[in-house]
Amino acid sequence: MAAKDAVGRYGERVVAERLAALGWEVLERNWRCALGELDIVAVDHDCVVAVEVKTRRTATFGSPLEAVTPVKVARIRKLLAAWLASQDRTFTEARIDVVAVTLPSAGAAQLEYVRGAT
Amino acid sequence: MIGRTRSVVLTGVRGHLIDVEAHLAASLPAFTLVGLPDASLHEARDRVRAAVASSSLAWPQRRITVNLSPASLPKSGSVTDLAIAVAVMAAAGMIAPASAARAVHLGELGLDGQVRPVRGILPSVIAAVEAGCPHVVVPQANAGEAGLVPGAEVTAVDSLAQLAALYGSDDARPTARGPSATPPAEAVSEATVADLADVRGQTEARWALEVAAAGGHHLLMVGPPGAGKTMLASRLPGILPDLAPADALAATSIHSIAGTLDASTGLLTRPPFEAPHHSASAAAIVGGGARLARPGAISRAHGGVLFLDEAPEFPMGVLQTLRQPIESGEIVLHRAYGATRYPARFQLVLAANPCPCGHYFGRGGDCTCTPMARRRYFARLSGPLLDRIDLQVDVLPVRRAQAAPGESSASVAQRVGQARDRARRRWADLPWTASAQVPSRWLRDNTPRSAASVAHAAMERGRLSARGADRALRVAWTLADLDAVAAPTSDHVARAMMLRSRDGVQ
Repeated sequence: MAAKDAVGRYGERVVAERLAALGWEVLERNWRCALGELDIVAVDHDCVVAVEVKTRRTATFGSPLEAVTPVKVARIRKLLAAWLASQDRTFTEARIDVVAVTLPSAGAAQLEYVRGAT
Repeated sequence: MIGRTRSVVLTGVRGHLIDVEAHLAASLPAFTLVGLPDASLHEARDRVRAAVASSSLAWPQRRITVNLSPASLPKSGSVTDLAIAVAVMAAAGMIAPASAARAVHLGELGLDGQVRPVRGILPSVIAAVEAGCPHVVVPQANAGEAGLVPGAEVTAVDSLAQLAALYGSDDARPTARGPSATPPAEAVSEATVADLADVRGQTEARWALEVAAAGGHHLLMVGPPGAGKTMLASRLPGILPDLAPADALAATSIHSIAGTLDASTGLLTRPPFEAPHHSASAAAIVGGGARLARPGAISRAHGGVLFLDEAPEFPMGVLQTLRQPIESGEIVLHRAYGATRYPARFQLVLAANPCPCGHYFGRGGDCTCTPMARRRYFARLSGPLLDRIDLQVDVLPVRRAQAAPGESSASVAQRVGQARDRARRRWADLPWTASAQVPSRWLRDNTPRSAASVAHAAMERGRLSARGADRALRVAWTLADLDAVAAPTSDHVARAMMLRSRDGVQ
């Protein structure tokens, strides 16, 4: 497995733990279908949230948030719809959040949370 | 978080003050520009972003929305780059919002954060001052031009980092600057106006030129190649008086928009001279361009001289476009984004060969053209245009005996200036300042009967049309001014008729 994939896995784990600690119900990790993959699906109160985690070690190639392009957000939206269709449970709201994880060479990971990406 | 500042966009020579506001939202990074920008203005996003980053400032990782208000006004070009950058920096808290909001920002940004000069600074600053915002920030290279506007408080900057530091940013650092690639503006030919003393002989043509200058009359010169028509025409600006203050401001504004202003020489005070080549299109002559029109040769000649050399070689359609601006002194150009109005009060000077081969003068012995070709050649300068040209003279080749050096421009200009002063005093209460603009009615009512009778007699004999008679009277008033007498005499009218020696020539 390439180093960048390991970085991504680590970032996703950090975020999932943090969400669980906040009291969110984490329903899925790395849910896959033909369209692609959702990093995390969680429930925040009555709202189902697809959380996209983007992890980077440096800002040399720009902020991790910048890597989440409108095209990518549109794909996550479709994936979330596909996920909802596969479930029996219903939710009143759905949302897409993005978490940027920066991993400095030493110290704790820094999280930047964007609620409701469009 | 919202950052606000102001800028100016131009439609024609009119500037409109616009509000530039930037909103930063916590969302995925994006940069949208709203408020009717065109494609060229959309490019501002990439320039602004690169310029901020190059100034050692962090570009905000937010969803940035920049609005140019009023949103109904179409906006174009790069002049708002600086204002957009300032609004974003103010919204991000990088600079003091109050100082950003206080000033009007004009300028284009380079990717390295350099503030580059833009066109149309003069009318933009005028608009800002008129709208009650005297604080303007302009590119260093445009500082001289902005300083021409009375009441403007000009801050000149050459980099975005410099401006950010002025506004209280501690982090801004300009990137090392390479040699500037911006060439100086193509200067309006002013120092290059040659002296009339260079013209040898041509007493009659010189006289016609002096009368044209004194009365603001349009002039047609017809003569064989090498007779000196171009030489004479190019010396007309040298004997014209300085521009009136209002004309100077209008002319400078037009040249600023056209990008032909050399700001180091300050306000244009000498009449401009435009000599478009006969291959010029109608859009090049009257102004044109997509969406919003840019000024053409006639507007650049505002207050000065438009010289059409080889006039019959111009396409008929191009010559016809001149008729309306000759009448109204301005041109209104309609394009997709709206109508643009440019001042265009110019003195028209036409030069033409007498026929396609150029040798049909005197007895016409050397001419190889058929009568039909000769007629067709001149038919291009058809009636309606020639009707508006008060002075129409033949310029014959110079013979050796005549070839003494002529009077200098300075002494001719002095006589012209005195004649113009007389005319201005006489018509102080009336809306015209030179005899070329006087309506026929005033001429008929005020020309002494004894003088007018000469023209009327010529009319009776069928030598002169009614309009031709009016023109003769109009020129006669100019001649009277040159002679420093109160009103034209019969002698003046007779001489005026001689200055239309082409009447009846076919």
